[in-house]
Amino acid sequence: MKLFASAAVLSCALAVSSAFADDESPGDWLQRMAQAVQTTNYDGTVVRIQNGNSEALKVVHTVSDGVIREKVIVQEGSGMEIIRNGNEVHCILPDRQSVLVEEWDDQSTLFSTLPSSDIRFGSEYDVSVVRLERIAGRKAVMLAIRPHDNFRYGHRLWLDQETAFPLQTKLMDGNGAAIEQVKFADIRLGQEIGAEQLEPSIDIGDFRWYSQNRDVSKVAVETDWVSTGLPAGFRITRSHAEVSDGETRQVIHMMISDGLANVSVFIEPAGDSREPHSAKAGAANSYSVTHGEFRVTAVGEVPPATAELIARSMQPK
Amino acid sequence: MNEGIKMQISAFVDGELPDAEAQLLVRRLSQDTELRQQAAEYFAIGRAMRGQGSLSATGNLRGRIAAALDDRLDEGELQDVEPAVRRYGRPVAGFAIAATVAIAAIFGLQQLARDPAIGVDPAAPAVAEGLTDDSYTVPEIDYFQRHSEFSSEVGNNSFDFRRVSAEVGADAEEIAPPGEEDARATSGEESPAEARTE
Repeated sequence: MKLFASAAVLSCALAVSSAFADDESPGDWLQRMAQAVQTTNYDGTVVRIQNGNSEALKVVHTVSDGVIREKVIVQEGSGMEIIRNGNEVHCILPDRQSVLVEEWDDQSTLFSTLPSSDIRFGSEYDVSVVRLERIAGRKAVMLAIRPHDNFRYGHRLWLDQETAFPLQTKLMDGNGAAIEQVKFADIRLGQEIGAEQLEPSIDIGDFRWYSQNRDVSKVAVETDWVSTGLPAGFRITRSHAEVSDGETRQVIHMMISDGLANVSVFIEPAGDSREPHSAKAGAANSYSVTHGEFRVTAVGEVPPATAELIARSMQPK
Repeated sequence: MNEGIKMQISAFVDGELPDAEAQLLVRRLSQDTELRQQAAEYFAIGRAMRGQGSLSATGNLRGRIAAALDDRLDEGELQDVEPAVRRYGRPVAGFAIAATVAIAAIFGLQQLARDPAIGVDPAAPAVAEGLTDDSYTVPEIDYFQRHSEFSSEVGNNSFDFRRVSAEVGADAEEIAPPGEEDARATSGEESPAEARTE
């Protein structure tokens, strides 16, 4: 019976959505979203659901003269706090009585890669405005990015109707199941954030401070490796060689993309590990396979089968 | 159930099926007992898959790596490192996981630290073998990190976010807290690192 009730609700929702869907295209909404996340001050509580587990975070975020300042407090477990001031990031680990210092460079901040232009979606996805809903007490426009096949994941975005700020996101697998969901439970948008709100919430006077460096040198190279059968829409977009600090081993790193989903392919001497191997971290999957004397590992936010297909498709010229 | 019906039902459950199609589907379900049963089973499978936690059997990998780092810390390696002036490294980790940027940024910060879901696909027979090989698993995590960093750097139109491992790894250097550094500069006092170089 739930299904039938849902149909009635859905019909009403669609009728409502048609009133605004004509005003702005999905691309317009995505562009507005890109602008919103770069300029909006906000604070609130975020809930993340993945693998049947949920967790909550308190967040304070402000942008001033292009400089991001942010505080994130994990509400469970270790109580970790992240304090960001521009490029400088302090990870406060209460259970270790430590502060880990890191740097995020501007070029690769979170706000540099948004799906905001038409070229970002090729023929492999449909993007549509679905309906109007209510998230965190605010009216939100739901956008759907649906892949045409099972080689990539779909996305659902709920954007604040007033500001286009993303209030909820879902990553969807081919069966319509949410792989990962992120949602604001409450949020205040566009309000002044005082400096005191960005200070650590605990006394870190006796904490020990650490910096963790991990340099990888990148060298442009002409690689002899090609793919003999990428899934439709995927193509090699970049490649270079990487050498980690303290190592002499060179690893070829190729980026393969369909415009939205990205897959890295790493090629290195095989060593002793020759069995095929798959792994998963969050929504990202990897697959490693040996081709001759080389180990090929594909890693990306794609279904496991896609990672395997790409890894197996790589061949030396 | 064919793929078309499956997709329709999936879209319907998500509330994303166009009105006309939804009405047709509802009518079809109301008239077809077998299809209703199949749809119910389909939903049950989906729920089971969602609730199961796909990597419950593979969470040990992250723990083992963390334990290895703990061991090194316990051995006092970090204490042997000379306190240095503050030096910033590259981001420890980043994963490009689909989600919009602002929100993903928030979650990205902690996922690696708390999520035990770094492991292998239980369905893949080679995984269990891989897990027994410590020398293999660490580079794999490194690849996830490098993938995310590079995705973000090249602006590859993904919903990227970065996250920190929130672990003090074996290659960490102990540094002076910012305040102490400033105080030393004001008083003219040498830092421990400076004293050692003379």
